[in-house]
Amino acid sequence: MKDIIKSSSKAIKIPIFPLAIFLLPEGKVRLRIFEAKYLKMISIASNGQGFVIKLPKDSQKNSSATWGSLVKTEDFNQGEDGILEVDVKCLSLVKINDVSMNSDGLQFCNTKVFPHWSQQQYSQHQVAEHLADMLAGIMSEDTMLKHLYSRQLTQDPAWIVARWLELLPVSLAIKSSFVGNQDFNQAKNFVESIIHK
Amino acid sequence: MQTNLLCKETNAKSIKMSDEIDHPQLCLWLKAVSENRNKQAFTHLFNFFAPKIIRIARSKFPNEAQANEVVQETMSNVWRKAHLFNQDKGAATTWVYTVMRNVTFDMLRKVKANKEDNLSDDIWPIAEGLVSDDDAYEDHLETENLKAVIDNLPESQREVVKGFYFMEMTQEQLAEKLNLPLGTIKSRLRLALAKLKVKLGENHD
Amino acid sequence: MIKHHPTFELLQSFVNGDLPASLSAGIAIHADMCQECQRQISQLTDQIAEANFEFEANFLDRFIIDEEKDLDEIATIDFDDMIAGITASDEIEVLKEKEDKFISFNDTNYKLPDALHNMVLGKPAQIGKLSRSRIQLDEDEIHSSLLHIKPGGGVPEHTHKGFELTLLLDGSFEDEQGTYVKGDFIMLNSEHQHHPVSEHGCLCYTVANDALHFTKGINKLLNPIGSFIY
Repeated sequence: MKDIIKSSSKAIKIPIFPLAIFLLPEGKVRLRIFEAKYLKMISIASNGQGFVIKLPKDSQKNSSATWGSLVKTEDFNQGEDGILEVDVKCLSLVKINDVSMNSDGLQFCNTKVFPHWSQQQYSQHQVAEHLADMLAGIMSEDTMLKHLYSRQLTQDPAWIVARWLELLPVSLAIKSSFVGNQDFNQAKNFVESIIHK
Repeated sequence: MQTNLLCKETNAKSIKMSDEIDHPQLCLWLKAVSENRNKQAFTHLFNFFAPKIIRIARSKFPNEAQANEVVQETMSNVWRKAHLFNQDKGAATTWVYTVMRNVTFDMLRKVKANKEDNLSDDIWPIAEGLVSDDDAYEDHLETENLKAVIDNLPESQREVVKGFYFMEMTQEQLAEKLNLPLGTIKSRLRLALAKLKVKLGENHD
Repeated sequence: MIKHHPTFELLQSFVNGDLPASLSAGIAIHADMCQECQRQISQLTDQIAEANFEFEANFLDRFIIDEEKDLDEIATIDFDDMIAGITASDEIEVLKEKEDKFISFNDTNYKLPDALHNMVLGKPAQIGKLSRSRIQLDEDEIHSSLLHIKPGGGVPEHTHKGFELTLLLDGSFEDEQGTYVKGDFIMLNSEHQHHPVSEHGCLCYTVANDALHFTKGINKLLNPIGSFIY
């Protein structure tokens, strides 16, 4: 994490992977990379600075600046069909500036890390117990989630609310609003109003 | 390969998967109306849509006769324009909704502005249908070849090919996990979104 | 590149059919030029259609139903009669091929957006570098126009009481906030003050629901011009 902040402050441009997924700090996803330019991106990113997953513009309407999820590769594999599979984890959210494109059509940008409520500490009694239990249940039953998060399940309220936001079936534009002006409590209330018995 | 419980579905798609509406059946009926002028199929469509259209129209028009006119007009457009429905472009419900919304819009304009200019089909063309539901963030689908291959895959596999394994649950999966009826989940989502929308509005001002 | 889009709420009302014809047309024209909004509209339409035709029909924003009363009313319409009436004719709707329509300002022909095809356009009137053709939609306090600005022309600084939509159909203009290009959907409310100037000329579709109020110098005296322009 520290390396990354350092490298971006030296204004090293970071590659952009445009993808319609919502990922908050500590969130993980398995990507499948098959286009030449993105294979190249992965090798550039493996130099240490990671890459940025950026949502389509129309799903960012509820936030003021263009932002992305700065991710680093945690693991990779060759899938059964020969396609490269990369497990990534979001380190932090970043504001995206000065986007440029190289000759391969790969986009690069300057990034500025900004803090998000999901990275703060809240006391455990602030979030309903069943949110944690149900999340743990879902994560243990799903092969992929189990694989990605197996060693990292926590009781941290912000972590739990953030993972629920990623999983809930609501549009990206709505999810994005929780990066904009909505705080932890609003996110928590939103999740709790859907997830209860 | 696609053994994950949580295959990514977009919001739209997960709703489209609703088990309450038999989409393939609706498509077959529309096709039968379009190709064979099949009255039996039209009767099925009528019985499915007409009662719902009446309810919706009653919320927009105070007058019962006007609500009935919406049904009459919508369903007769379905009969006369079924050949304009293209199932590659969207669900039958989406198409009939568009027909109904357009009829309602033109009628409301007639009632409110006393205008019979029938602008709706220019604003929401029903023939072209809506843009195909190509969620892929275009960047990943530059070559037409790749696009063609992906389009031929079953829906559940498309997202995986497009770039990632899973992202969010479908409404059905959430209902199953919480052991609640799908209807309850949908209501909760709508309520939660409605509340949120109010808040967003406040923040914008 | 298009930078200004309708809000999500506006798209939603558009799909619901709740907006006046003037604003609906504005969103339709924008969506024709903006793939992202087009995609969002198509998703929203799928969702709203599905929600409307679900058996439970509990689409909250729309209606609360009284089951029994409803069933009674439905029973008063004879469905069989209606079906027989509709299917009595085997005629199908033959689609007319759309012919492009054009409008001319300052000796330039512009293709009229599809959404405006059947709207009645008033004769263009001109003041200096501005020409405006009103669109006759009869929507009371809402006025819609096509506004053409010749190179170097501008709209005097103004505020207004209601909203003001400017949709750029061709060319570009600049104001205090930056440059706007073809396809930009610029919705301002009464808090905004602006002073658009077009260096190279442009054609806009405008919708405003109140006369503009000019705030500076001699233009104050010309306040009546406000209702002329938008």
